[in-house]
Order: sequence, then C-alpha cells, then structure tokens
Amino acid sequence: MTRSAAHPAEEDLMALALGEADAGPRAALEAHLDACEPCRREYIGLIETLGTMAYAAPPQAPPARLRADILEAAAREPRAEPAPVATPARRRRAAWRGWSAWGPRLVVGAGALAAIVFATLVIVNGSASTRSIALHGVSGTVVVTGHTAALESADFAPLPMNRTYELWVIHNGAARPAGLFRTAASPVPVGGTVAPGDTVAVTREPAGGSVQPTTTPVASAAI
Amino acid sequence: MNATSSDRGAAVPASFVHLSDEALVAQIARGDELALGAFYDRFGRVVYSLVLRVVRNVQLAEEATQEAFLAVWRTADEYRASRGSARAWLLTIAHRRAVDRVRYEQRRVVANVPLDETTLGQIREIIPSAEDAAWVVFERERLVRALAQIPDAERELIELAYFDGYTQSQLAERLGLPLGTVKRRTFTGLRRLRGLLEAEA
Repeated sequence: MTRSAAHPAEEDLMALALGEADAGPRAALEAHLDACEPCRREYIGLIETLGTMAYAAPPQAPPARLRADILEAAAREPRAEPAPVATPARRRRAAWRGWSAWGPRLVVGAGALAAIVFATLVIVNGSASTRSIALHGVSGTVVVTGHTAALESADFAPLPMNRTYELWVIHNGAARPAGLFRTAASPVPVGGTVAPGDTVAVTREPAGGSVQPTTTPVASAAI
Repeated sequence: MNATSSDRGAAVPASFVHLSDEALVAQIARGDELALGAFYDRFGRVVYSLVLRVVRNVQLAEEATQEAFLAVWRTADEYRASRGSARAWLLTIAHRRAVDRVRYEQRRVVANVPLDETTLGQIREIIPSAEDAAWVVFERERLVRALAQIPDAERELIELAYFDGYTQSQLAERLGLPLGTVKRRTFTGLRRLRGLLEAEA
C-alpha cells in the first residue's frame, strides 16, 4: 500500500484517540493508520499519553464480585478454538473494535517484551546475607547482598543500536537512574544502594539513557 | 491470586506475574481464562476508576468495566504490540465504552452540567497493594508534576474531553470558543503532556 500523500489532521487523530464518535470517517482514519507509520506513531503517542492520564482518575476499588462476573461472562462467550501459538492463526474478520487489527499477525510484537517466557523461578541462595529475587516481566533475578544489588537475566531481547536498557531504583516514589546495559547475561551491578521497600525496574531508553524513565518498565523486582 | 484452578482442568501456571502485559494478552488470545483473570488483577482497578470517573454511576461503571474486559477476551488475538502497549490498548477500549455511555446523556443535558473541579488535587492518593505499588506511586507523581506544568486552559480541555467525554464541538459550544481553537488547544496540551511525561527531568 502506498503512503497517502494526504495525512489526516493531527486533531482528527486526537479525536479518534479520545473516542469521539464523529471523528470524521473513522474507517478512513484507521485505514490510513494501517498504511502510514508517522501517523501511527503520532496516534500511539496520543493513546499512551491518555493511558497515563487514566491514572489521574480518583482511585476507586471495583466491587469484589466484578472479577468473577467478568470471568463467568467470558466463559459463556462463544469463542473459536484457540489457535496454536506457532501457526498462522484463524483469520477472524479483523474489524477495528476500539482498537483492533493492524497488519499481519504477530504472536507478540517486536521489542523487549517479546522475549518474555514463563520464568524460571527464584534461585534460592543459601547465604544468609544474599537474596535472589525473581524479576517480574522478564525471567531473571536481582541478587541483593547487603545494600548492593545486581541484575542477571539472559532474557532481555536484543535492542537496536539507538536504544539501551536502563536500570532504576525507585525509592519513596522517586526513580533514580542506576545504570545502563544492553545484555544482562552476566550480572549487571545496580548503581548506588538499595534498601528494603525499594523497587528495581528496567525500562527501554534512547541510547545514552534518560534522567527519568520515559517508557513503562519491562521488568521490575521489589527489594 | 486466589482463583481456584482445580476445576479448570487445564494445566496452568500458578501465576502470571512473570509475564509482561503484552505476553499476558497473547495468553488470553489462546483462550486462557486465568490469564484474563490476571489481566483484570493488574488493570481492573484503574479501568474501573477511569470509567467511574467518566460515567459517574456505579452501575454504569461496572457495566463498562465488564464490557471492556470482555472486549479484550474477544479481540485479544487482534492486539499487536507494534501498535502500542497492552495497557494503552485496554484503556482505549475502556475509555471508549465509557464515553459512548456518557455522551448519550450529554446530548440531553449538554448545557447545564457543571464544569468539574480539576482532578489535579485528587490524584495523590496512594494505592497500597501489590509489590509494584512503588511504580504506581511513581507514575502518579510523574503525572502530577507533568499536569502541573500545563497551562490551565489546555489542561482543562484535556480533562473535560477525556474524563467528561465532551466532544470538541460540545466544548466549543460550552466554552464559547471557536472549534478550531478548542481542537488546537487540546492537541497542544496533549502534545505538551506527552513531551513532559517522556522527557521529564
């Protein structure tokens, strides 16, 4: 498909992201997003920003039974047999339903998140002063010895040259940079010290690293 | 997670905590109900809080939350990580469900709903629960700082559009501004917010 010379107005992409029913001819916008990488990036930037805005809603706990209600309703849904992961999937009619399908099927998209597998669990370490804590998000461990920590995992996906993984120590709600790495196959020291209650997290950042995280973490561990 | 898995028959992992959000959606696409439960455990609260803020009615909020997660269940195999995070995907779906509901009402009462007080002061509340609570607090603080740097006129428009579901045309009418001004201001504010969130330093 050739890239359309006529890009939609940014405000129209915004209206689409905001769920405006009259966001122009929605189908045309969605078709354009299919074909146009710059507009898609703009749109993704909008929905990621708005997704963060959601956290500004006053926190309210849903009623406890809602979880069971949802799972029961899901169990009642007529649903095609799940496709085996490795084969081309059933090609359901891929209408946009609030989001929906773009492009060929990928089991999980590219990027750091793709490599994630069911984890091998905690390596229990006999030494009293050393603890191994399983990472969430990527299989691997954070080994804590006293007030120092190191990250070890063979499962961080390779990055393009203009990206790096960055370590963070989150202490009292503030994130402190704690080092960069491209592979953690051998232990990567977590910069500075860690204390109980801290969280060690890993994000993908532009090469050279960032002062504050700019993406959501791909892996984390509570110390 | 307390869900009893014994009656499900299938061999399931004891926990999904090691899966990224995106990998969890892939598991949901394979028809794994427990994965759907785990996804709800991660995001049920923020989804419910968001839709309740939009629809302002507990019953409607429960319905919208349920619809959003059922939409995830039905369309998980259409999700593409290359199109943004699973979280943004879910929240886009949930938000659309909520505003579709509230716009129904607004068509009738568009002229006399009071403008809401800013949400900025309400969002410092901490959710102490999971081990990633530190991250939630961090996200919230980051958002507070970013929102505080956005001009009031832009922030108000973003909040009215996102949390109250007003269309750009409705906002132009309500605020007595040209439609083009409303659109440009809202967009500028969102771009500013995005820049602040991405490059906060």
